[in-house]
Amino acid sequence: MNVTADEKGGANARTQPRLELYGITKAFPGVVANADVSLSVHPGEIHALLGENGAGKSTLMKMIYGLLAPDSGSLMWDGREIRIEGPMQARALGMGMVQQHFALLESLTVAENLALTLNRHGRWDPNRIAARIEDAEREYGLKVHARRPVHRLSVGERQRVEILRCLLQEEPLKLLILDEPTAVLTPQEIEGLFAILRRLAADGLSILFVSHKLEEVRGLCDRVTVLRSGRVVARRDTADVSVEDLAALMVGDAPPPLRERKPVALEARVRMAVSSLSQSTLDPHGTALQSVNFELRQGEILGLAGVSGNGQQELMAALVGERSSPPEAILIDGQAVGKLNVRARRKLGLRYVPEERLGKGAVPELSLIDNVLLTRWAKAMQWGLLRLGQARAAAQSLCDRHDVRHPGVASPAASLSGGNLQKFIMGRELDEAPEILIVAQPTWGVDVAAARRIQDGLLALRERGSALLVISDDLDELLLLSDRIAVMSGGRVSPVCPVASVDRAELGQWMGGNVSGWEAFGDAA
Amino acid sequence: MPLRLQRRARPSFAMRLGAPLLAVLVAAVIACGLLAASGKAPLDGFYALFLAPLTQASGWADVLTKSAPLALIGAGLVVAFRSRVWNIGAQGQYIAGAVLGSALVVHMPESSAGWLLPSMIVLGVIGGLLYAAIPAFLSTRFNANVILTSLMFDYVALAGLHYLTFGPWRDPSSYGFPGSVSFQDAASLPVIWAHTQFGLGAVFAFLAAPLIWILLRSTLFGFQVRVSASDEASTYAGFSRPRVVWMALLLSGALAGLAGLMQVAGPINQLRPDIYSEVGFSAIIVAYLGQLNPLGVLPAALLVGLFSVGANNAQITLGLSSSLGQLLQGVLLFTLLASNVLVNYRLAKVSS
Amino acid sequence: MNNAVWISLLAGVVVAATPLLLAAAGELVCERAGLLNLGVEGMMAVGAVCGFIAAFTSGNAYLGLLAGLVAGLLCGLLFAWLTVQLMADQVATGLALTILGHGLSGFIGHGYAGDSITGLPALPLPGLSDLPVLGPILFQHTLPVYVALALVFGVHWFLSRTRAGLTLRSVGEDPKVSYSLGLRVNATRYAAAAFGGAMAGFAGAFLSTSYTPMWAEGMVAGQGWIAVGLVVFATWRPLRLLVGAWLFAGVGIGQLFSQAAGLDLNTYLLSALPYLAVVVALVLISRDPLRIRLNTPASLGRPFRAET
Repeated sequence: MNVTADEKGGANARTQPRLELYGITKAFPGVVANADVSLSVHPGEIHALLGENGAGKSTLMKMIYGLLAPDSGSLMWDGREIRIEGPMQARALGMGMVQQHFALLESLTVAENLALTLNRHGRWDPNRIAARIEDAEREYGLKVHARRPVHRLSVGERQRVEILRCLLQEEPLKLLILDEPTAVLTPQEIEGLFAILRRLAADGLSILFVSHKLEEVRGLCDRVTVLRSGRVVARRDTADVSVEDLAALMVGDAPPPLRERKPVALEARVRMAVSSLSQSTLDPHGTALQSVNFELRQGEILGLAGVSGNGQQELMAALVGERSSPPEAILIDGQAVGKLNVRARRKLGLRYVPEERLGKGAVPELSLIDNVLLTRWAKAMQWGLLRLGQARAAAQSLCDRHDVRHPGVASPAASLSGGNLQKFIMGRELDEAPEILIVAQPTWGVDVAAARRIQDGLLALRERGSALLVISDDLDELLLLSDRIAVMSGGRVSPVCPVASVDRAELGQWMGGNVSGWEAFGDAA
Repeated sequence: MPLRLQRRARPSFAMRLGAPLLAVLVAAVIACGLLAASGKAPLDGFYALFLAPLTQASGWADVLTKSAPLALIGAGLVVAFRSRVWNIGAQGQYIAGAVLGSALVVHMPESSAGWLLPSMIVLGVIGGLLYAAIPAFLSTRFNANVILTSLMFDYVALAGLHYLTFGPWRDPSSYGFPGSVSFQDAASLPVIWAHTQFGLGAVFAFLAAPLIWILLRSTLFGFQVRVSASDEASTYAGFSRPRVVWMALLLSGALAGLAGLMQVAGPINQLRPDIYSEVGFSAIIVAYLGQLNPLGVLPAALLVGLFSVGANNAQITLGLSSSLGQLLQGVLLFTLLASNVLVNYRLAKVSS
Repeated sequence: MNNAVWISLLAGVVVAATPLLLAAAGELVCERAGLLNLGVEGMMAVGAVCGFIAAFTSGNAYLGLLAGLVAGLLCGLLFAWLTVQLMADQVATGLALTILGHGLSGFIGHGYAGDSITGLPALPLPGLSDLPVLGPILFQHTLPVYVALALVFGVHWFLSRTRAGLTLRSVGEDPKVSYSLGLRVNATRYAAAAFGGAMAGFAGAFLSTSYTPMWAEGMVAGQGWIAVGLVVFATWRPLRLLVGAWLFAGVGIGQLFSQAAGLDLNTYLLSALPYLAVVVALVLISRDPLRIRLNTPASLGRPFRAET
């Protein structure tokens, strides 16, 4: 592997690096997350850490920020070797981190959230804190609603609060770590974020930008460090490297190509129809459904795009029967199923894969044998008893067929890695050849090879003539998989359009909550 | 050398077995310390507490007799706790079973009909079951916290027991002592170990645990209980949470009621205001000490039974407080909960 | 009934509500930090016996209060050590504390049953105690009664207006996020549990040095559990504790008065009333699952441990 340390570097190389890592290694039981990782970031530099899911990026960032302790290796800050005991110390040094899952307290207001980390040693004065927030809003052009509780904010707004928090902290911010910050933003919001980051970097801030999206890394960052399987495989100036090169560096051996997409010779019969579905939410921080309409046909993959938290969970709960709705609001093959529960709908051939894998799609403390039974128990009964021997065999063959790496089928689901667990759960549902399959975030956080397998499975099921609904906030994946696509925003679903005819920018507008085009589009189609 | 906890890759089976043993050992040491602190010779105390009951056959019979209701209730609580249904009202359900089962005898004290005892057993089960149905109803219909409602009904049951035994059900020929008439042979479970109180009821009580083990392992209900570790997963599997709450409470309530009946129609032989003596809380300890495994409940019940016989023994021979038994049980549960950290974590030396 | 009877009845309610308020305010703080301590009953028992013994030995009932407070605090720390440090199940640990507290109080109080002490003196508040009606109801009591009332407002102020209160709420809402923001999650939980224990111990000592100046096994009689129920009833808001505590105390006092008034009701059955009142109140307050879910501290009952 061609590893070239960036010694000549850019203009930054002559200055004292703000942060240097040498030989950082971290192992968890059963997996080495980081092996001998070295990295340096200069003042004013936007440095990308690129790697596919599971490459060890988040682990590395957590060690810099003091959330995890490295097993070995050393860390230099402004040229001095230090040991970071916890996030408190990291913040005191002038680090700020925006994590993938926002570190905001839902029930508190924006101001309270910011106050938690503000002038910790000074006098407690809510008015002064409000004033500081206003100043910062003006200075950086980051608009937030200080008095609103966080659970009422959009995802983009939450991210602004997080960045604002880093900027406002007591010790002036010197290094900002952003872990996959664009994953939850619309294309327009991403542009806005980049503008802010460029301005901050110009003022001398160091930024560590963690991503697996190549275009973004090329467009925003000065230098890039590529991680694969926990090791640094390349360091480059982004100016010197093409997107294709980056892709090759990130993935290593190219993954097998996606299964060829065959036309399905079936009439476009509607398998599932949703009409005028409106529903309040049971989650105090959730989104209510507002008059949702769409049809799902056999032999198609319908993609449902949108930033998560816009009613996707509520829609899923209604579609699969976790919550009941007016009977006629949901039809399966013409039959009104709104009142049927999960079990009854599963009997009609509807299966689904939830977004949360550990804790819903699988019970962490139960064995793989029990987890196979989780959605198949109805068929495993005999004389009132569960056929456990048969379940063991089923678990074994499931793991073999779907390449699930496991320490034995009697071991708990929690012992599987994220990718393997998702292959297990997807395999469990795919093997039942459901007539209708609803999947949320099928490849979120899964490495490329496993994602490819899962996507292949979805395409194969489509060819079989099943109807698939894929809910995801990864627009690129949906455009790759779907026959038709719709957008969810604010509890509403946009008109459905064929993938071949969609305009990415317009979808982005829709995801951002601009629904003005929906009515007109519906008429045109 | 400083130590810290390090998460294990997966829970240790050996520690699941070893933690209770460690806990007993530590609890025994603490017990000796307590005895020393109250001015007794620790070794004499240790002997009186843990060994004396086992030196005689009658002591063994006492321990078995004491353990039987604990094993029965504990097995039911395992199901409830594994379902994450915190039924801590076993005490009340036990009283309800005892009271309803005694109703027949109180109303026909001289009867020697063959159907009497079987009917009492059925009524005892129904009593516990109905009493557990109240928190089940309040939880599934009104979302009321099971911990608090089931416990409040303990106090209500106790009030009812006092009302009956001091009032309408008092034996008129008892010279003012509270309590019902003594049960005739036809209303009593037969003693099978002569000159002791160890009876048929105890034998059946010990059989409950293996049956519950099979129930949890191989039936659909058992599977629902196991999946209850995660609410979301239960929903995904298509299981109804209210149904599990109902089943778990009814089952644990029924077993507690049966235990209550077994005691009044067995060793106690009368409905008295003091029939309960914290048996419900001891059963909670038994369930946890057995690591929420029905088979683990058996040795756990024997051990707690030994503690309580030993404490009685120490009370008589050393003149200690009658609360000693309860204190030891509390200590034991604490040491167990502390030891259990070793199931998921190992102690590692800090590298620095 | 004439006015004097009503006034003494209401004054009795205020006194009877005191142990409930003290223990519930402590438990509320503990739960807002995410720790569900079901051991209040046991901690009160330990506080009661330690308070009595200290008062008996020293002859000073105020020392008794202090002893009860310290004993409760130690119980709270024991709870925190298990649930915070060793990540033990909170429900089981709370039950263990209740059982241990019962046993321990019986064990160390063995020789003291039947002894008597001079209880706390009443401290009429100058100026206020002479008010008509309100004076005798609120301002002619022993010290802990005033402390309990002040505590409720103090806890409200602490949680809503101070940085430490905000930190505590954050820890109870989401310890993981709080930790990543650099807040001291474990220290906060230790402090909350210690405070909860101290208040429960203080409440127990009030029972044995002031309410009924004596020691008897089982004298706490479920009041610790009622305090836990009270926190749910108040949906974790301190000021609402007042309503609930007076309500539950009122039921208990009403029961005594109905006997005094010669009503022909059975004492045993009447003694069940306060517990039934708690159940009814819980049912009414819990009917709306969304309200409970909105108000319950989100991490209540869940262990937290920083990864390493």
